[in-house]
Amino acid sequence: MLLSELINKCGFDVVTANDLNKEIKDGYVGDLLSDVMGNAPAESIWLTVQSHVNILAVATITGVKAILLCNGLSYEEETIEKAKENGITLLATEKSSFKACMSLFEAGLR
Amino acid sequence: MLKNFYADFHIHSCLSPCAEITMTPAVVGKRLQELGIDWIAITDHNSAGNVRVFSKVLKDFGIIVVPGIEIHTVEDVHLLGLFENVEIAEAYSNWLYASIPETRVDPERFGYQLYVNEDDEFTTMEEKWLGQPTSLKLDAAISSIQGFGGIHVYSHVERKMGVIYQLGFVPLSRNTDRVFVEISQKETLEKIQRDPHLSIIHSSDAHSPQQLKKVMRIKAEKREFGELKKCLLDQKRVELLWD
Repeated sequence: MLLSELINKCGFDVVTANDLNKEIKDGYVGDLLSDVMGNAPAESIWLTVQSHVNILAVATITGVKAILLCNGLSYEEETIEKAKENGITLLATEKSSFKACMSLFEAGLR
Repeated sequence: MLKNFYADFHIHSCLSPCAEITMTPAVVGKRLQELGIDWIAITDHNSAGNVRVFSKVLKDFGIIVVPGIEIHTVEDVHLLGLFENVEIAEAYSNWLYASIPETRVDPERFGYQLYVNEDDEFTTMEEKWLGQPTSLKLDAAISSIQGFGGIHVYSHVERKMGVIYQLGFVPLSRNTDRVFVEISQKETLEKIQRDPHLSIIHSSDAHSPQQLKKVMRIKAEKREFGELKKCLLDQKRVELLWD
């Protein structure tokens, strides 16, 4: 499913967008960098409460295309800048990771 | 007799991917000398690879270096390890290296990790990404530092990658009678859990020369490892300094 389509259906906030026409094929939920580095599938959306700048390196290593920061948390400036440099889309939502997963499922991501 | 020293036990060098490449021995030494800081620790992420050269060069500036490292644990907690001498710190760093995954990142995008020589020249680049978590859990990281005779300090406990931020509290270990924590903000002094086992320090966690500043005044007989331990155990000998 296209990233733009997921965003429209789920109502996530776009903090910084790269190419919203990217195909999202999978998803992952995780807050420990080591866990995400080891397990997140490529071309996926990553749901987390981590906003440290290192999440961009983790996304690049794993091939994650978009990061969704849950629970109404916000990214620091440094993280947003790094996301722009590295072509990673940053999203945010008030929903918990669990509720956001449900939205993604209802939108058709399997 | 006790003398006053200005100390900062958490400084990064050009080996840390997130530090500026200007964090070289002569640049850091000159800036510290200008500021009147004379007792520091070099604590790069997951490596003590630059501590030998910093110890040597900074000595000429009248500054004593405690060889250190900042370990990134599985829980995404940052933990400082401070060691008695360069040889032990390097041995620890070599031991830790096997616990760092083989992951590499593009230095152009995520920061250069540079080894430096006594003339402030870059010699080689570290290939493994030092900004990532090691495979050590917090308990194992603490035991390993103790195993090398080192002191562990929880980094910037209230900030990202700090133990309170990540886990919600400072774990009081069964194996030590005192727990050392570093705080970044003055306000944390009022908020942190009241516990007689906690000893609090403050550091710059400088990643660039501009971030270096006076953070602590310490009373010690001389600047050596045994005295450092005594100072950390006796809060009356440590005065935290704020902007």
